[in-house]
Amino acid sequence: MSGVVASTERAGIAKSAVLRRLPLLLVGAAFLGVLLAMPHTGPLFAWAFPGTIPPVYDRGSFVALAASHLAIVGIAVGAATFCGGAAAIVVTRSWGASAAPPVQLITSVGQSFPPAAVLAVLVPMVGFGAVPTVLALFAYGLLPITENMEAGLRAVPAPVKEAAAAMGFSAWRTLLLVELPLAWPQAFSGILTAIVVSLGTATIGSTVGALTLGTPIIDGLVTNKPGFVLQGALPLAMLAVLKELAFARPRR
Amino acid sequence: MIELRHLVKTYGDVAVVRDVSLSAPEAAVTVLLGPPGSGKSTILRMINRLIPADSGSVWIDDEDTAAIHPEALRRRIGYVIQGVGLFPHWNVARNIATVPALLGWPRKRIAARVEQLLDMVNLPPDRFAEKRPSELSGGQAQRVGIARALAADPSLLLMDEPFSALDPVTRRDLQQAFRRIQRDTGKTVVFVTHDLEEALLLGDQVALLRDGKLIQHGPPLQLLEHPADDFVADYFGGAAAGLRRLTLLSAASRAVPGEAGGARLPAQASLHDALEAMLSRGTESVALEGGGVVTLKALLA
Repeated sequence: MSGVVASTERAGIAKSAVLRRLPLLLVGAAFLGVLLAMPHTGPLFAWAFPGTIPPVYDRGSFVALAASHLAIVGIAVGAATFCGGAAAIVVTRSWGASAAPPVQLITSVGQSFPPAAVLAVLVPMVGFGAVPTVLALFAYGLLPITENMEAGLRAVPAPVKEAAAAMGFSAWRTLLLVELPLAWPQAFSGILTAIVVSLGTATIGSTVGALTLGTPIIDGLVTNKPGFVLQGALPLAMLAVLKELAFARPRR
Repeated sequence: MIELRHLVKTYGDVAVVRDVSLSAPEAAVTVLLGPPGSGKSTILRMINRLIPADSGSVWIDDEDTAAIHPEALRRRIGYVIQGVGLFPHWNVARNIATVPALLGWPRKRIAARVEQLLDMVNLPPDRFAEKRPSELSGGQAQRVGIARALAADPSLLLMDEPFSALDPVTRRDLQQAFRRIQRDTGKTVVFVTHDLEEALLLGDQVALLRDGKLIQHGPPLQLLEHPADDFVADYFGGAAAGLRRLTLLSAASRAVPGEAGGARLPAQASLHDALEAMLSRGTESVALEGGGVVTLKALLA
């Protein structure tokens, strides 16, 4: 009996999960549609902005721009998660507490400079392209990721850690099976923050030659083609909506 | 049997355990009793090497624990703490299965063991196995904590104030449940508490500590009747010592042949229970199940 109740309940939960995700799926599909359709909008933009040749940005497919945009964010946030996560683990070990001040210094310096300024400083050092953008986003994402991971690890109750040790868990096993799973929700919120910030900020990477959805905008601004600006702005705006739908926390 | 030999632990300038030697007999409950800061918890943690001893040694069944890998040692020793420390992200069944899983038991054996243990601590498996620790009351959580400690059937159980955070009624329930389980399973237990009543109720042996030193140890009645010094006498209740003593003496031991009115007391009732019955009934004798009566005169003797 209780099994039946539980399974219908579970089906109900699954159904409401799909319903809740519906706007995300629709906007996601629309986003993909816009990317794929953009090359075929030549007549429309030729009519709206006569004299612009070509009427639609054509130095790369929009799908490739979006993929590059997401890859830049993914690599930067992935690297920040790896480094920030490792740093948070080290400073929460009994033997690593002395590493806390330098870690805090590095992460806060990383965030105290706006990414645009970091880009300007990095270009002379590493050249144009995706690399300075990835580095700038990495530096910016370190702080929220490290801080949240550290807070999550420190919030693991002492009796839980003591019980793990007393039952014969090695320090590694305690970390992997107990501390990380318990710290994960908090750590994940830090990673989300980094993703959300990076998705928007990656756009300015186009000023130094990174291929992102901002590239048509920069190109349009430089060459005075308002159609290009629109063609970049539309998918970017949709990406912002997608981001909100995907990561927005339910309001209490 | 566990033997502590000349254990010493110092933090900075503070000696928290000073040359403590003690043996905890097989299949009995040895209570480490003392005020906060007397070193009792530190001693407990030195037994499973959560805290390394500065000097001295702990022997379990004639084996020096210093020679056993700490993780292997701990898997052989059950451990229950005041904060329970259930893993909040695992359900009750998986919490209980922790050590058997570490030891690589087959899945079926683990499942059967979990069910058996839940029955033992009076939590119906069909209602509790899937629950999360956050869905349990304090008493239920500690029952799970005890089941988890017993999971791999260790011969030795360490308990650090396991019932202190519970309300009095729940505490009494768990104390009785624990005593029953201990008698049924024959575990050797080292039990830390600052609560004298608990020590008298549960302890076969009581070791009284102060400032890291072992002051006196022996059966509770011995400490009550022959305190080694004023500290022991004070700790054991001063003026209330007489009443406490009655809780440790069985009514049957003073029974004489005869008959008395009113309901019979259970055969394992204490003299304290007998006195209580006389007071509430306004009589000078009560009958016991299995024959005999306890009279006020015999009680006072």
